[in-house]
Amino acid sequence: MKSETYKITNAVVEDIITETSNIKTFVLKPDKGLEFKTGQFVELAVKGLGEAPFTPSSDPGISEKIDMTIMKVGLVTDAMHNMKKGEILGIRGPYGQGYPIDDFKGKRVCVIGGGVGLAPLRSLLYELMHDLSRFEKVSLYYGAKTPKDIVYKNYVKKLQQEKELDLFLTVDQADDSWTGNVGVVTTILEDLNPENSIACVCGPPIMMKFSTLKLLEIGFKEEDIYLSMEKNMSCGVGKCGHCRIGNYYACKDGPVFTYAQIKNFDEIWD
Amino acid sequence: MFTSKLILKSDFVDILDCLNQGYALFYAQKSGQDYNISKAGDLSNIELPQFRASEPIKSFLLPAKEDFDLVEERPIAVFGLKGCDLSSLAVLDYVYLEGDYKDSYYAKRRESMFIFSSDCTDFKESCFCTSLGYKPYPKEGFDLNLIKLSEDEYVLEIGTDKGNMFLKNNNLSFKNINSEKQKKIQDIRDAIAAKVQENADKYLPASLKDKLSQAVRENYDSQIWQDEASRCVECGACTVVCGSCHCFFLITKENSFDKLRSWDSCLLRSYALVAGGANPRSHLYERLRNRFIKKFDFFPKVLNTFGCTGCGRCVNACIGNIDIREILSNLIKEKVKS
Ligand code: SF4
Ligand code: SF4
Ligand code: FES
Repeated sequence: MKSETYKITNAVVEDIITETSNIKTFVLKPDKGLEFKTGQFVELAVKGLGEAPFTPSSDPGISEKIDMTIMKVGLVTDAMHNMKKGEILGIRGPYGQGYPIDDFKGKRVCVIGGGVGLAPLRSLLYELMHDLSRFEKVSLYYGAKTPKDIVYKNYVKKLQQEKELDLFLTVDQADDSWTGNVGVVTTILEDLNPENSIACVCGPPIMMKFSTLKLLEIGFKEEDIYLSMEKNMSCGVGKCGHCRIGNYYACKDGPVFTYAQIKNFDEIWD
Repeated sequence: MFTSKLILKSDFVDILDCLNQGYALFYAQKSGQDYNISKAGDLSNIELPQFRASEPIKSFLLPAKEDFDLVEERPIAVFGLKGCDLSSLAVLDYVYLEGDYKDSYYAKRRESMFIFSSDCTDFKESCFCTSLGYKPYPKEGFDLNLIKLSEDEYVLEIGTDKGNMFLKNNNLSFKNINSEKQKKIQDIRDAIAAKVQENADKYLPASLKDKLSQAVRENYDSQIWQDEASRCVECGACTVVCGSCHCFFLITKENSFDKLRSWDSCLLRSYALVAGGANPRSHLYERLRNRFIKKFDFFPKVLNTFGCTGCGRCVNACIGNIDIREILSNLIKEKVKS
């Protein structure tokens, strides 16, 4: 038995990168290395205030330093955004199942992200790019509200130069600097080839919903669509009850589910 | 079969006295029409409680507000638990002990707690354990169980090694019961079960048990949820008193990363609230429905048991007179209608 459930490890905030007006990436150095599989999540805690679940956005091969990309949406994340380098956050985890990378072997992997939903997918991309020869093809489809809302601008620039990877970007509203596609993310999914393909989708609920419907429409199988479900996780270990989706708990059975697993449950897109 | 001993009223008081030495003993005492389980009161006047107490067993395994850093000095023993309390252990154990992570705090208390249960000799109007396939007497999960044969004669069932060792260590030895008494136990048990069922069937006939999950599932869009929820004042009392409701939230202590755990209620708006304000169950009726889905669809699927043991505590606790038996039987009627 793991001795003390819910125990926190201290993690030093080593660096803070401002991604957009309301999104920052925190580079954390936990007291003990924290090994995670891509897609698993952790609980991050602010002293005296509370915890919230986040999925690391860094390379799962690195356990000493972990990137957490965090949008400012409430009490806990507000406090995190006010933190400075050198301060201490608490971390516990990792929890959940993550992406079944082995099942993707030999396939075309379509990574589809919206807004801050690129965070867990960046970790997935690091993992996939450790050895691209395992897959027939890896492509990224990413949509943001405006060009300013694109997270990981440098990383995305680097990916654009990557010959082995296809990259498609879109924004809902362009500005003068933007020369790419304009429209919601589903507009760049039209030409996807469902043949021998799987898709990993992460983003706001509405984006996940319409992306899933689009993928189904163009011929993806329900069991080939992997969704990261954010469901108000709290304990992280299947006890507190908060994250139930139908017969599952997002924290222990997910947070990554195939559409086939959860399609019959109510409230999945809410 | 358990080892069963014939004991006298005075023996049973002796047993409680010994438990009181080695454990922090909580026991049921009559107060008005109800029983309350507490540490206070005079042990020498103790009676076998007729039916379940107001407090469910979870109160002792998962304190309503629990400071993870406080260490209890003595293990707890509880006298006054009934069949419905022990049935709820299946749900609590599944949640807190199964899977990749055990809950270390629950596990510790569960392991050390001494459970001294007893057969029901009467019922509350709200009792409906029989409607869900349970009996008004414990079948498993106790260290010791007490059955009343007459004003002075009792049977003590020894359920575990822990129960056995406790008796040995305290030099409490009693004679085994004979087959005639064994027969008498069965008659008494059949009689109380029939009595409970006769009453419970008025609200929710036991014959409908196998239709409950389906009725909850298939009435997702029924008007019943909105009608019933219109009387709910969102106090959360039903989940507080429920022995199978297990949800909690974690509170971070001031100036530290240490935590408290507090019972949560899925009836409360804050329960499903996601950071940023989204709430998949923003309406009260959706939350009421969710409670039934969890108990009568989720648990049967994952554990093959209801997340309700028919103790009727929520019926008594609800100030809006929302009655789980009535909702279930209406759902079944509704389904038949459509
Ligand atoms: S619900 Fe059944 S077991 Fe529980 S107190 Fe009532 S009669 Fe006894
Ligand atoms: S739902 Fe009501 S009747 Fe069922 S176990 Fe909980 S309190 Fe008892
Ligand atoms: S986060 Fe507590 S059950 Fe999933």
